[in-house]
Amino acid sequence: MSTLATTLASSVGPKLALALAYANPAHAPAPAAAATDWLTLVSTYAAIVLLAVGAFISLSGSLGLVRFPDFYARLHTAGKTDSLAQLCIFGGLALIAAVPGPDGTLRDVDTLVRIKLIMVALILFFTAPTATHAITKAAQLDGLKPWEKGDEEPHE
Amino acid sequence: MHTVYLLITLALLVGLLLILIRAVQGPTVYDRILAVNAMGTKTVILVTMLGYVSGRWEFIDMAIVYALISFITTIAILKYIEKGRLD
Amino acid sequence: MNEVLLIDSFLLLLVTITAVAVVQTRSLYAAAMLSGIYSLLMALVWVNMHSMDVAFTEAAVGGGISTILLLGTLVHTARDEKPPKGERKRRRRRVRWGALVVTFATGAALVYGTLDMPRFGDPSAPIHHHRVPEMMNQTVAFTGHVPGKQPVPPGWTARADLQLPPDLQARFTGNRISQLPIELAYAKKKELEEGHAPAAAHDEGGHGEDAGEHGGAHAHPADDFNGHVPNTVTSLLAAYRGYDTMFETAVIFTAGMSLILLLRRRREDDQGHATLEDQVILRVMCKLFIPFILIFGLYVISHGEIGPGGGFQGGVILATAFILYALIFGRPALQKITPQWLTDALMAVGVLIYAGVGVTTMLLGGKFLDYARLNPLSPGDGGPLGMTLVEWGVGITVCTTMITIFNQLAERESGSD
Repeated sequence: MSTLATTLASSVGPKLALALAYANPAHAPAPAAAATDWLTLVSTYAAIVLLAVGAFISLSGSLGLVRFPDFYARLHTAGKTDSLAQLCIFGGLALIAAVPGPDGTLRDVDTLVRIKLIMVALILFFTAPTATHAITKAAQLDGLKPWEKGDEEPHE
Repeated sequence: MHTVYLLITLALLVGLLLILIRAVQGPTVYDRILAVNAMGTKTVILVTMLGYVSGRWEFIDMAIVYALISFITTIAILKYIEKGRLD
Repeated sequence: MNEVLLIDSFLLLLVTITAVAVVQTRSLYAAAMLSGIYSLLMALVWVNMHSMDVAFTEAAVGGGISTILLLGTLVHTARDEKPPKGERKRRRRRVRWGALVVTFATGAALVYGTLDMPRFGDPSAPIHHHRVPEMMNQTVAFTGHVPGKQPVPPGWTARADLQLPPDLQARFTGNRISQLPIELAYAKKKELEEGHAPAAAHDEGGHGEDAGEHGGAHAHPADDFNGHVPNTVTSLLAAYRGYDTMFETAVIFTAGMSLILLLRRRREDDQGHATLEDQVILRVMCKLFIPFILIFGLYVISHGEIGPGGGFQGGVILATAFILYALIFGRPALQKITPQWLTDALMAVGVLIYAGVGVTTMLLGGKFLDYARLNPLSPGDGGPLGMTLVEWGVGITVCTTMITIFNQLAERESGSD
């Protein structure tokens, strides 16, 4: 926070000189202590891997949503990848032990926060496929035909 | 770690842009509904990620609200499409 | 470039695309869905700027119920917009230069207005000096795992030669002696009752110790927030501008009333209804989730003074649970659980609770909505009590009004079939 204040003040000029009054470098927060506990270390790396995998899957699903030829094909990308991606990302976040807070100091993650993360993941795990299923059923009842090779792109 | 959160948030944001393109383009109604639904899921993840970027996980309460509300919206849209009425 | 700015600019780009698409599309129904997306994106913008309560409201109201209500409006109108007069099948649209000039002028004026605003997160912005320091001073938060007052952020200290307002100065030095008349009055009262020196009553550094010493009576400055309200936004809404919030509730009540007057018709014949009961997966999932949504809504209402949330958001969440029930099992089923007379009555009851709290405090000898009067022994504890009561009033009104609006909008007119 104090570095932000300093940068702001130096970049914007004398108007913000007052900001410097509070941003005393002598009181700047100490850099976050390195995690020495091996369990923390392992879970942090696992979290990074999970988050990266989740982000990749999510991005690929979004790409598929744009690129795939018809509605039924797009269903695959939107429905399945989203479920997997959110599980990966929420699982990854639940593994993280501490987060740098707004003032730069590390805050330990509450157990309650982890429980809530898992709860969100569970809710999405149930609702998202249900919604996808309902959409598909509605489309099928409406008589939307799957696209086949050689067909034109479907139009409204 | 902070950079990791930021990078993942940006990746999700790009995904959001792609979904938005699908929602604007259509072409069928169902594509739009699908896009809205995918958008809801992405938003839930993004809210949580933004909370971690800024170090305030109080945002998770909001993620729960999103997860519940976007589901109801999808059901309402579907009912309107299918039956032409909401009651 | 910091990350808030980076994410914000990207999100605002998406918001702009969505807004243009809403204007462009001819299908009203696609516009309703896109406006839902618009609210989701706006809520992300609020999240990114750390305004949690606003994002909460946007999520519950904008993302959820307003889309449903827009669809309810579409039931009464057509699915597609009529093409403007004189426009044939060609998709080309004529540019109206006058409108364009007016729009750009308004936009430019608005942008010019923002130039005077302080930057986002600017520590020297007036808001960080005038009112917020006092409010933060009263905020009870968890630092580490210990509940207590929020300390001054590390690295933030007053420069010796800088003249700060006395209250803010006291925040840095730690010994605050307020001159506010109401604080002096409470201190005097405390002194008379307990025989304590006024200086001890003013020592607001240690809540915990004081609580033990005074036998449960908390000693803290008794200004208009009066106590332990961790969520500054709620204390602002319910206490600092409590009248405003009361009339907002009254506006919502009025909206519900006018919809009843405009759209409610007495009819004997059964209008018929549509259910989604035949879809097994949907039905089972909704049965599973409705209790959960209800509990979460109640949690949000009653948790308003501790975390993000409050009456408005919680009421809307509760209402969506009822609406989900109506969507799946048909509106007659909803009417069985929440009959019309009940929702109509509860709409008024919520406003009455809010105003009643105000009248009660007047009867107890204070001003209207002076929550401190609710607990004469320790005025500080009256605040959270009053705010919780008020939030419940707001929650009841909002929830029942939303159900009423949905009922009125979803009801088909007899001629439209």
